[in-house]
This record gives sequence, C-alpha cells and structure tokens, in this order.
Amino acid sequence: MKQYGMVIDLQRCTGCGGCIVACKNENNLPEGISWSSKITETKGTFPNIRYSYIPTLCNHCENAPCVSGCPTNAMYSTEDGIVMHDTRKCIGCRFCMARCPYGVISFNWEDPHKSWREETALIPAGTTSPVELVQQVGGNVTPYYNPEQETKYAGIRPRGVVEKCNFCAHRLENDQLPYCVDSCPANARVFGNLADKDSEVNQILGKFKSTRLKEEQGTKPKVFYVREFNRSTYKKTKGGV
Amino acid sequence: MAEKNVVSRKYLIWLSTLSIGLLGGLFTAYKLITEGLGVLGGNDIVIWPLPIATYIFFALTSTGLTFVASMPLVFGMKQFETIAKRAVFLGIATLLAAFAALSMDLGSISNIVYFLISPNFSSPMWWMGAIYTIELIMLMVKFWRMQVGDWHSQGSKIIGGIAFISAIAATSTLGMVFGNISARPTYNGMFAPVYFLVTAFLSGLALIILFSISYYQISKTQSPDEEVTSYDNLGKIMAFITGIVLVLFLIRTIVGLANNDSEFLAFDLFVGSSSFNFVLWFGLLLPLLLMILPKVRATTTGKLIAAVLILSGLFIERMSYVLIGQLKPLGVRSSGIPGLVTHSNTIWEWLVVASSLAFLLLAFTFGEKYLKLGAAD
Repeated sequence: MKQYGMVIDLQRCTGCGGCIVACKNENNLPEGISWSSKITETKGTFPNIRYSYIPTLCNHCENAPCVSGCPTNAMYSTEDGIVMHDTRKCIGCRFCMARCPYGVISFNWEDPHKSWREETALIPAGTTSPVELVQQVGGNVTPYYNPEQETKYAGIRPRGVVEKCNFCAHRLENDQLPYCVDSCPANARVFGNLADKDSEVNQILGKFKSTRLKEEQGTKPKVFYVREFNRSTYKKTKGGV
Repeated sequence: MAEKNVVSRKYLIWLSTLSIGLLGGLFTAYKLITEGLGVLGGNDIVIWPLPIATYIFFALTSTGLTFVASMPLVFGMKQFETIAKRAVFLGIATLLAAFAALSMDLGSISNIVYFLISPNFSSPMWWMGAIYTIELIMLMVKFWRMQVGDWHSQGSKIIGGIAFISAIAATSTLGMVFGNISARPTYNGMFAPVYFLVTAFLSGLALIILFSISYYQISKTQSPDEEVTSYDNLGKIMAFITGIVLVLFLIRTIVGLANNDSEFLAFDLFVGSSSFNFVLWFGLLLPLLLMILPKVRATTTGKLIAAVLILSGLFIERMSYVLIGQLKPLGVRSSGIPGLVTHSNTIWEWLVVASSLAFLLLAFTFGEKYLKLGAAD
C-alpha cells in the first residue's frame, strides 16, 4: 500500500509563491483561502538580519488530530495516507481547525467566490455582470473553474464547511503529481511513496537531515523539510568577550 | 381588579420582551442561513465566537441543575425535594438553550444526520453530543414521571440515576473537547473536565436559587417554608462550591502565569484584565463572602445578589476561556502576526446570547405557570 508524502527542499525553494498560485488555480480556491501557503519570518536587527520562508500545506499527518476529532468522519485518512475531507458529511463545527496545530484548514465563512456571484454589471448595459461572464465562458461559479478537481472532492466547497489540501487526489488517480509539485519552477517539492524504500522521497530523506513542523505534537506529518537556503559565510572566529 | 390588570400588564411586558429576544435570535438565524457564519465575526484564527461560550455556559448550568436535582432524586436528600422538579425542568430548558446557541454556530446543520449515520467514536465532540442528547432525553422522561406523580419508583430512580451519570459524562467530554486540543495548552488539558464539572455545579446552584427566589418575589407569592429551608441549605453548599471554584481558578491562574509557552500569551494578558478582575472579585470572592456570613446568607437579597454575581462571573469566565485559546494564531496563521489577534463581539453574537436567555426565561415562565414546578404547587 502506498503512503504518499512530500519532501520540500528549502535550499531549492526560492520563495516565489508559485505553488500557492498553482494550487489556487487547480483547486478552485476562493479568495482568502490558501491550501498551499507559507510561514515567513524576519529575525535580527539590521544589518544582521535574515529572512526565512517555509512553504506549507496540509501535512497529511499519520496521527491527524483533525481526523480523530471530526465527529462525523468528514475528515478521514485514505489507505494511501492522504487526509481527505468529505463536504457532504461536514457539519461546520470547526473542531478540526481547533485541533490542527498547523493552521492549514480553512472555513468557508461566506459564499465562496462571492464576487463572481454578482448579478449587477459594473456599467449597466456597458459591461457584463460577473455571473453573465461566467455563463458566457462556460465556467462554474468562476470563469476559470477546473472541472477535473471535482472528481475526488467538491469542485467548489459550499459555504459553512471547511476545506484543505488533499495532495491533489484527483491528479494522483491519473498518475499525475500534485499541481504544486508539478508547477514548482525550482523543483523544490518532491512527491512520492514513503512506503517504497527506493522512492525519490526516501532517497532524499536518506541523504539529508529532515525536519517536520511541530514534531513535538506527535502528529507524524508526511511533509518533510530538508536543507536550508543560506548563502552567507562568516570569517573564522572564536567570538570575543 | 385594578391590581390584577397591573400584574397582567407587567406580565405582558415581560412576555413581549422575551419574545423580542427570541425574534432577535430568529433574525440572527435568518442572517446566518442567508449570509453564512461570517456575520458572527469569526475568522480562521478566532474560529469559535461567542455562541460556543454561550453553549458551554448553558450546557454546564444544565449539568449543575441535574446535580442539584440528583441530591434528592438519586441520593435521597429529602430536604431538597421541594426544588427537585424545578431543577429538572430548568435542566431541560438550559440544555435546550445550549443546543439553540450551538446550532447557531454550526456551518452546515443540514448535514447533522451524519452525526448519527457516520459517528466517529474517537471524537470527544461526538461523545459530547451523544451523551448530552441522552441526558436531555433522561431529564425529559424524569420530568414526565414527576409530572404524573411518580417520583421515587424503581424505574423513575433509574431514569434519574442515568440522567445524573450522563450529566457527569457529558460535562467531562465537553471538558475533553477543549482539554484534548494539545495544540492549544491554554485549554488546560486534563484539568478542563474537572474544572468544568465543579464550575457546572456552581452555576446550577446559582441558577436554581436565582430563579426560585425571583419567581416568588416577582409573582408576589409566599415561598413555601420547606423551599425556604432548601434555599438556605443550598446557600451553604453554594458557599462551599464557590470556595472550591475559587481555589481551582487561582490554580489555573498561577499555572498559566508560570508557563513560559508563547501559547499562554493571551492568558497572561487576561490575568489583570477587567474580565479577570470581575470574575475573581465579583464572580467568586464577593459571593463567597456573602454566603459564608450566616446573617447575609439567611436573607433573600443576599442569596439573590450572590447568585447573580456567580452567574455573571461564570458567563464572563466561559467567554474568556473560549477566546483565550484562540487569540494566539497557530502554525501558518501566525505568519506575519507575531503576537495576538483581537476579537470584538458583534451584535449578532450578542443576539445569540440574548435569544438563548430569552428562550430559557420564557420556558421557565410557562413552566411555572402551567407545570407546577414549586413545592406549594
């Protein structure tokens, strides 16, 4: 049985945010929701300062607190290790959000893609309304709707339920990589089967010391981070008193 | 005749006020259905706004009332039998008020059927919902048996016993809903179920004293002597439990302040805030003082003030408890937010509180009028 996981090489990651944009396109994400995101941090005082960028997504934890906490099994783990969500079963209690230490689950507080649901034209009799435009280009709620996404998850999640990354399960079933992995221009994301000792992900994990976010929580994330981008050097020194 | 008209007019104003409260809740429900939970002012950081605190407040008060009713009905403490029926009725009403507040906070209540057909037995939230439902059913059956005069038959006692046990279990699991969130240590881990159980008893004691005494004061009827004795004894128990809650509250405060984990930043700010001071001084210490002074405890006004202060303090405490665990963003949500977020309650959140309270008061008004809840009836 496969156990999908991801390695993110922080030395290769340029922090371009392409993964975030690609994910939004692929999964019909509404404004304000990002399944793929980032943790940025600036430390120190100028000129001794450094900036760090950590790309984030659902960690698809082996001991997922969202899965054990969901009262209706709307959040569940698949046999191949993906933490999936079923919008039909979700009652919108947001307990999964409370339990997730990574903050990667979002809630639809209002109608998704609200601006595309407007029936009023910006200039009456001059421009089309957003709804008309969507109809004319054959979209679904948005003009850039991706219908492939809906084979494994609600194409657009309704108001009142949570949503999160599912490793692009609709692409995996067609032997395609998750879209964030596919579209990363720096090849910083490597995806594969953790249960296969010879997989690319295991080869990288065998070569480099890896870390996972908040390991002390015992959630056993399946997203690993290796290396760190840092081109700085410093003169040989023992410091001083 | 003129006096009767005045009473009727006051009664009408009372019912109208409560109806307005209920209408406010219905309008909020309409807004939530048409616009989504966003109107409550929540976001992906403050995910549980005021209705959850309202739910906890009423659900725990229901547990407390079940404890109060169990003293005579399960443990045979006959001196409290006079207030048992009212306690059972209020236990039902507060639990329904709690469920009403909770239902306002569920994003997709239309999917609630999956709670039954797709249960997750590892989820404390599922157990909480299931056991509270059992408690509600047991309380309703018990009330029905009491209504037909069957207070102490074997079957009636078993029903009361199950209600008591389910109240303990439901409250413990509600504590675990919060305490089991290891990512949010400010929810106090394994301390939470214990804290909930004890504070639940206190809120139940305060509510039965407040409602019972108020009823006789407002309806200008004489409290039956045996009920007056019950209130005095309940006042002593309330003093005892307030003392225990005060100790637990101080333990929680000291442990929270001593914890250097950044997750406790919001708790550190809570200590010393006006909410904290109200809970400590007016919600716990002053009522404790009032109830340990025999001369004050013996007065109706003393008990009323103590009960109102305790309930107000506990409501603020529930509100703060839920909020404190959320003000420090977790994981990716903390990116760009080094400290805490703020949250101001919206009018819609307060309307949920007002409508749940209005429902409780309306139920109590009709209960007293038509179901003979007191000893004299």
